[in-house]
Amino acid sequence: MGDSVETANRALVTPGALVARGRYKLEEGVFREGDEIFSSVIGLVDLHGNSVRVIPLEGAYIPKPGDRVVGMVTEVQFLGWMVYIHSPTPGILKVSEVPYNFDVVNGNLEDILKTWDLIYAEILSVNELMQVKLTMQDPELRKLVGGRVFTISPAKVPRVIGRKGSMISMLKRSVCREILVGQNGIIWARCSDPRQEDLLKTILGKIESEAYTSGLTNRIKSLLQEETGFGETQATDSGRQEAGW
Amino acid sequence: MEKPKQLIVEGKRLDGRALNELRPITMKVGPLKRADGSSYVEWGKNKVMASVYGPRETHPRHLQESDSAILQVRYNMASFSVEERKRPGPDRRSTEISKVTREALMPALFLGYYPRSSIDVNIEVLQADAGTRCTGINAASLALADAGIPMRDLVVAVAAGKIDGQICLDLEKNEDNFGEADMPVAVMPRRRNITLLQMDGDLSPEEFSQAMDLAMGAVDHLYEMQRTALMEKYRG
Amino acid sequence: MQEVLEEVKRESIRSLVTDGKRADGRAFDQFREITYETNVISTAEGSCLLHLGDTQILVAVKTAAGEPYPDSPDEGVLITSAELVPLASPDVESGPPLSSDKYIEIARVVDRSIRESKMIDFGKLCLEKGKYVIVLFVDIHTLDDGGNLIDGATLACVIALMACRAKKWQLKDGKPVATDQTQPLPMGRVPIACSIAKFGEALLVDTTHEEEIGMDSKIVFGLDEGEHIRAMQKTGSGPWSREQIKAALELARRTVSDLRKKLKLEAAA
Repeated sequence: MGDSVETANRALVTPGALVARGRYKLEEGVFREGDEIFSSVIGLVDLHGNSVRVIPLEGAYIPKPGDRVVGMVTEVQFLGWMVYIHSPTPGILKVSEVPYNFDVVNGNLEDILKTWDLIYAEILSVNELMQVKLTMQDPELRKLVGGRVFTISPAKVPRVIGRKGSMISMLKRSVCREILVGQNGIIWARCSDPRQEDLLKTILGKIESEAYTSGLTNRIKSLLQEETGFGETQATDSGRQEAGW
Repeated sequence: MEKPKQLIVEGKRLDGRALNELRPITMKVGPLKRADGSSYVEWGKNKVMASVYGPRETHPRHLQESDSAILQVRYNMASFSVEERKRPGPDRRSTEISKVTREALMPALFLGYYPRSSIDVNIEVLQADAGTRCTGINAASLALADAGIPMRDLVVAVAAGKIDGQICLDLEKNEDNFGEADMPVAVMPRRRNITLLQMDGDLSPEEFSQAMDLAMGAVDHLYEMQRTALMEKYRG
Repeated sequence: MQEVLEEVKRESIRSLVTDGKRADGRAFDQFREITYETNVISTAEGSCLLHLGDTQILVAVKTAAGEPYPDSPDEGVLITSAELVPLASPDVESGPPLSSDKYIEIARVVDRSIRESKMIDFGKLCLEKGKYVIVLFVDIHTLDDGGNLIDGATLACVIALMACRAKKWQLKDGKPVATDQTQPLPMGRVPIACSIAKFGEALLVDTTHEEEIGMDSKIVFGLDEGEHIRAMQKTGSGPWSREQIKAALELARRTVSDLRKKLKLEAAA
């Protein structure tokens, strides 16, 4: 019984659609029954090398170790904090994961982080009970002050980043330098001018609603050109390829 | 309305349909902005909206399960959805339908992917004309897929029944009120797994078999309708 | 957990307002787009599905025959209810009283606007004085809570009542019976509700759901065609000064006047 592909690459599929048969390595959005591999979500088929996956078009954020996320402290707890990360279970940040010499006896956790603080953190681990541990042990991870928060569907985050970071670099160059895109769909930006934040919001809205159409990158470029007078002059190829799918 | 003398006249039903014909159906995905997933289905004169929130933290906490998500389903009929205005709020019928709907959808979902969370499905009947539980299940399946909840398969549902001694598909209100049997069925189309089966009335074993044939015969068509509705949202 | 995310946006919304802006780019006195369809529910005698920005509300009107209130034996009865529909937002959970008082308030405030403006001539809804009158059930079903439910619901109720083809009831052997004929409801003045939200000193019209999280509180004004006030309700904590209320009323009157022209909502002579 050989390996075979049953749907075209980049095809749009619905849950339960047959995607391939045989000994493929399974990544996200697919499951195996015997020899057959099916899609579990509505999404785009992606076959590369020996692996198959379906990239979901929708869905909640499911934390993975290494993901960087924007979150908000919801509770000060024993030796740490509970953090909302826009996923089914909250993240726990222990004081040992924050680069700060904390005096366990006399120290006050709220001097480091308090409720409603925004942070840029990394997923340290997720166990089988979906308990999420966060860390801020890296100079790039930090408390976020001021700025504005935007949300997009987590499935659209790759589009905001772009292939090899091309979209986000463009946004940082042409709109506002300080933008942090959380894998969890929460984006934080601090711009010198509120109009830049408005423009960013418009662009994110466009990406959210047009993520799966081709030519999106060019449309964003034109929009940036109109609005800011900056812009790139080179054209790029089809929208889907931009995101590295 | 008083019982009509005949529900079938010269092979045609009161609304002009053949015995094995479905009522006209339209399906729309994503009509609600705040829900994680949503759908709107019109099936004959039935109008049903469904929403899905989740996976999200379970409320109340004590219901959560450590190794999988829980599925909560609420089926509700609006007070104006029926001819005689219904008092708002759940009653025993809607409680039962919520339960069997939940059991119809559960086997299709990969609940193990989201321990300790909750997936909440709401089915709201805005206008009713018999077959609301089946319409609701189709709507819920669309809303779950729209929310990105991983599923083994979509879930379709349809009812078969008996009127004037004959087996037929998809009873409308008068047929349900004055007919001899009504049998809703829900199916995961890929493997023909039946996830809901109810009946009230009177069916001999042969009649039951015929009714199942009719219901199963409609499965592929409904599956195709759901798939088209989902893809339309993105192809639009 | 959605509430948490919204708290994150609360400060953003408030600082936007301080800068004279709104997240969707509207002016402070600008309403979102309103579209509606009437008579979409065939099991009801009148209905209206209304879109106000992202808010979607369905209102249905049904009649029945019943007893009058003891203090108005020759007048019809109006019963307005707003059902708690979990479809509409992640915050609504089936049961807990905390979310349901919001909906009870919506029903009662909408009811007040309609009742006090004498939109329906209840005197014409009597079948037998002291015994049988027409009961109007107005049921508000919020499908998608994008903010400003009270204004949206009032509008949808008014439109549903105006479009209503009510059953004609008659007395047969002393008992009320519905005939097959229909008739429009006896109409008076048409109320419109306008809620004004306060953010510090700023006043905003037609708040979105996020703006409602960020605001101090709001006041709903139910105004009739002469721009008389028929109903008022402050909702949410956050106090107002008299000057602020006066300014809010002015803003509400202007806005309602614009809405009336735009939607052509005047009762038939």
